[in-house]
Amino acid sequence: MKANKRFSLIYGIFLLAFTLFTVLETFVIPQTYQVVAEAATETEVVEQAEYVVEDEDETASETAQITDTSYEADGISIKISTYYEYDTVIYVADILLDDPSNLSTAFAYNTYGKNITDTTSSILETTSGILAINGDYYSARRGYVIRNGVLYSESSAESDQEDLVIWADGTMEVIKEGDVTAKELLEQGAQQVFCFGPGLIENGEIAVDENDEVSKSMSSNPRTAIGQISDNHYVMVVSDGRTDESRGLSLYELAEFMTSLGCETAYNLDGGGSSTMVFNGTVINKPTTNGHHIKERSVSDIVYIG
Amino acid sequence: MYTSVDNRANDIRGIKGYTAMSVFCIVFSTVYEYFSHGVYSPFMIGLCLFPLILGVVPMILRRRVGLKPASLMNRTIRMWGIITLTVASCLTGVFAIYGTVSAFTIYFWIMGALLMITSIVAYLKEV
Repeated sequence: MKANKRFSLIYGIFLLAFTLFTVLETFVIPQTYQVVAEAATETEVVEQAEYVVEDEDETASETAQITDTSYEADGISIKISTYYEYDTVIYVADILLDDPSNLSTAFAYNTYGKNITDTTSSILETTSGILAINGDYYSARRGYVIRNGVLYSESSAESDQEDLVIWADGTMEVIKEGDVTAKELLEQGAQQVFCFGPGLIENGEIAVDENDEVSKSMSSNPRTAIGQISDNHYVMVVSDGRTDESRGLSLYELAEFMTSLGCETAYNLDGGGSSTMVFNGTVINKPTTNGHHIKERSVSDIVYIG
Repeated sequence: MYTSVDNRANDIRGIKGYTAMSVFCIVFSTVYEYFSHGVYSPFMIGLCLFPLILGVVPMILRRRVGLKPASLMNRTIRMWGIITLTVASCLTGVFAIYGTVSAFTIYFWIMGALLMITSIVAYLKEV
């Protein structure tokens, strides 16, 4: 065999194998990551654990009032509404909490890692939650990840990357990763940090510019967003898209809609086929996995109330 | 021993090959972008530029200028350099459209660049 043919054979096999490995590593092979840091001291964790146990006992003694579109229990009030705007079906969960720690997050299989995914409804079943939306699909990208007061990733995506911070008092704030490190956020009391974006509303003003939008933002797609109206008053919003009945929203339309709900702060989470809202064990929107097929997609994390 | 007739045939074969590769890339990236729900990546859109700019254009220019053709081994190295860079761009585009990144795509870019540099340096020595 001639030298050039030998080279082609060997290099071709190498290139094919490395390409396959790269694709599998990115999309298929599960990998568990290590925790970087935790905010609470050991004593605080014990105290928190005791508090949770007491809280669960109290909750168990309460009788929650649940309908198809509402939930009322001690300290938690949820009302689900459906809108039809911009030729799009939009589901809104209006949430009032006494304790902001009821706004929580969970990982698929309770594990932080890459390609570890499950459906939003299945992840919710592993918690005591009543309502959930998909999160930021942290495992698909670089960026800060803080969940329930634990720092999982401090690698910055880019300095302009906008993250949503939920502080211990329940306040939401949109920050840029270039302005603060993940450890500083943790030290300042961040309970949740989501890395997707962009921020839709900041200080009551729409933060996405219709003219500056990139092609990704201008496209009409299923969307998931979370927002804060006032202290302990939140909304979770999911829109259907990519169907004849519901075309989906651009980011600017989503921001306009969140403004109409009265949000002071709002943030775009992972959308497209990931967009899912689950209430009381039922998927209430129409997730479009693999194009137009109506099926719940597996995601890496959820935001839930419970 | 190669003659000018052999060189011409090799060049035409090479130009046809890289043109076919460019057309395939255009079709692939168009279809992929069509189903990407409006999410675009310059790496996917510009996929066809690698075989076009690094393959077709230099071969046409070299023939116009009348420079000596590269050796068979050199042409093979350049071909794999172009293929590697095209794969690098394709993977980067696919991952960007999906909304993810891979720590391994950089190695495709490095390998492709190394092969291209090797080909250029070797050609300069040949002429």
